[in-house]
Amino acid sequence: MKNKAMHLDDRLFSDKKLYLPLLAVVLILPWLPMGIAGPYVIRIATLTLVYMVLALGLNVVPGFTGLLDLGYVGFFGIGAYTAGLLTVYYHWSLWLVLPLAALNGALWGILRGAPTLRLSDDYFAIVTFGFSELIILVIKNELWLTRGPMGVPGIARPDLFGIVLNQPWQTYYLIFFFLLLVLWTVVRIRSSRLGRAWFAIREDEIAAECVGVNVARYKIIAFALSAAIGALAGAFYARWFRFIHPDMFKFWESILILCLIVFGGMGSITGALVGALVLIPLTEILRIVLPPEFSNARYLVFGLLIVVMMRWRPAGLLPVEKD
Amino acid sequence: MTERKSKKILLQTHNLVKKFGGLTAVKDVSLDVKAGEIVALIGPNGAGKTTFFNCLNQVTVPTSGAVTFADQSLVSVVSPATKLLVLRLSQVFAGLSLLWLPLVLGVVWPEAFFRLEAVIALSSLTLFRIYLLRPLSRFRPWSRLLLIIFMLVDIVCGAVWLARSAEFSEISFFGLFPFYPLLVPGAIILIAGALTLLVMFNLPRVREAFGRYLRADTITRLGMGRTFQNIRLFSSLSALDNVKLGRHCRTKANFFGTVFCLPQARREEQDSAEKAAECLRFVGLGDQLLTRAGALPYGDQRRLEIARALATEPRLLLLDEPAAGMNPTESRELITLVRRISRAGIAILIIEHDMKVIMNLADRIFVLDHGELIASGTPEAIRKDKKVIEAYLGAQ
Repeated sequence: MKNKAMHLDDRLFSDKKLYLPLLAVVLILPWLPMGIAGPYVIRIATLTLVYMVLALGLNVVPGFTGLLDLGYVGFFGIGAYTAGLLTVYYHWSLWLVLPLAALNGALWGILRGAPTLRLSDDYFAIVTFGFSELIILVIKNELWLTRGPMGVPGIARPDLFGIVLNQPWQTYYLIFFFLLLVLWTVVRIRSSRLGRAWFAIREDEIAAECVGVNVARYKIIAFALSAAIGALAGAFYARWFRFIHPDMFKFWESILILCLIVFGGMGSITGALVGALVLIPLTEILRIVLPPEFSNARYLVFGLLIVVMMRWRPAGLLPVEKD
Repeated sequence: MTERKSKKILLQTHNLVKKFGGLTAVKDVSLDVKAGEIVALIGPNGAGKTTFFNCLNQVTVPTSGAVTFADQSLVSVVSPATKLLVLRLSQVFAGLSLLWLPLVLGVVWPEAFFRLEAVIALSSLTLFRIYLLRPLSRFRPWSRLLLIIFMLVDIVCGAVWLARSAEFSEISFFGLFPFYPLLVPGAIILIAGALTLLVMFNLPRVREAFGRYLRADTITRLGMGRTFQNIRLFSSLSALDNVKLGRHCRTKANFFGTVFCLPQARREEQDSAEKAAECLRFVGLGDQLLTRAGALPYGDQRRLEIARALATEPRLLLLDEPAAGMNPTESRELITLVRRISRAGIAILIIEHDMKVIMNLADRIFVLDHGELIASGTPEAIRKDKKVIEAYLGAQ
């Protein structure tokens, strides 16, 4: 009976048989000999982990709180630019820049969330879309601050206790550490008072209010947490990629991150991870497999995959509950 | 009921009115529920019973009237005089807001005075501001905030304008008269006017007019639990999680406590799981803890809703047609359940169509018809009341 309504997520994180081999694979990955493609594979793995963090962060708003967010990349961009500019202008350490970026993300998450509290689903989605476009416009046009379309080149690599992490495996482990941090936060909250309040808002806002959930407050907390995680990923991304440009944070990215969680199963933590694990390497594999003139058509395959998924598994690859 | 218990009034409404446009759904309803009592609210379909319930816990905001729950006022009464005062103030401000046009123009783009499209654009913006000020007369909670934001904008604009005024000393209106002499007094009037209004809006009397709008969740914390006519469970969560959500307003674990696994948060979580399981056992769902709420049979869903309301530790439980769609056995079980809740010292206000349930349970009955209270009294008196029979069966 204990397993009756146990979430898939709970099973994954409590069952050692499931997660220990996974952990082993992830930890050994940088040391697997993969020929000349070695650094390339680690690079893709790092990118996948960045998208896992993003998917986990986005999952908080549409997955847990039930509000469709079409502008998540805005927070990714805010985090990246906060970290990038602080590093370029002040040469601060990663461990100072990262929390500041996350805080800045949370601040904008709240500022975006506060006026939209009363909006219902579709209207909220439109506002989020507009907000992310606004951020890109600001980044593109405020030359004095962001250098606009010239981008921000030469951002310092991440560092740890004064040592510069310049090996691919070092940054790989770094983002893996951040992933674990975010994962821990999200998993803890999902099965807590806070997470339940979010689920209640998702299921029925009026009933949630009537059992004593302060709907406005918990929505704001969800926005802030989601934005902070996005900004954290962005900050890491800026320090890892060492160059940021407004074109990196286009609307398409929001849709990509949303696809990850839709593919994996909305509201499911495992689903978000699996979504990123399948789709992000897939784009790279398709780049190699497809002839070069079709390499831009690889997102077509991507879209096809989502359509097929929606036909056969409408609730995602690993849905939260099965009846 | 003991004499001492029945004396203390828990819930009292005074001339509660709810209007939806031209339709008056609830009309001057005054009733009271004493501690530990079971009170029934009956009436034909569309009599306004559920609207009345929604007004009690502010899911819909009543048009006028007062609700007192556990010696606390839930809806503040707005006196007509105050309402008029606020209305006048908002009109004054709307008029003042017309001056905003030259103000902003002067600050941002002085040459714009001589460009038609800029004048049109800013005029429409000003009209939009006035349009936004309309809800002031209806005392929306956010209207004051809006007003204060506008005023602050005006103050800032005025100040900036004043500071930059020397720059515009050369400019003259259509080459006829100089701009500068108009500018300084205009800015001063706006700053002073906005400041005065800000102060005025903080006068206790006016502040009172905006009312202390308690949200539904605050009222639940005060001890008013409720169930819904059309079941509103969190259907994809387990039964236990549903009831744990009822504990939400009695617990305080926050983000940091949860993430860092602080002992207090952990203890609280355990505690709320135990209390929730206890509530589920109380309504007879002890073996369905982990079933998805949406997968429960209909009668169990109704009982789960009651368990969720009980978990909020209410002093007054509002039951909205708990026996709707139940078979005779289930409604008999419901009667015993309600009795047991009442024995635990919780007052109950129940809406019900099933007369057997009502006559069995209620200490007192109020009858609502077309939003008006037409009768009240003991079940025996109600059974014989002419008006009630008329409302149900039609006049002869």
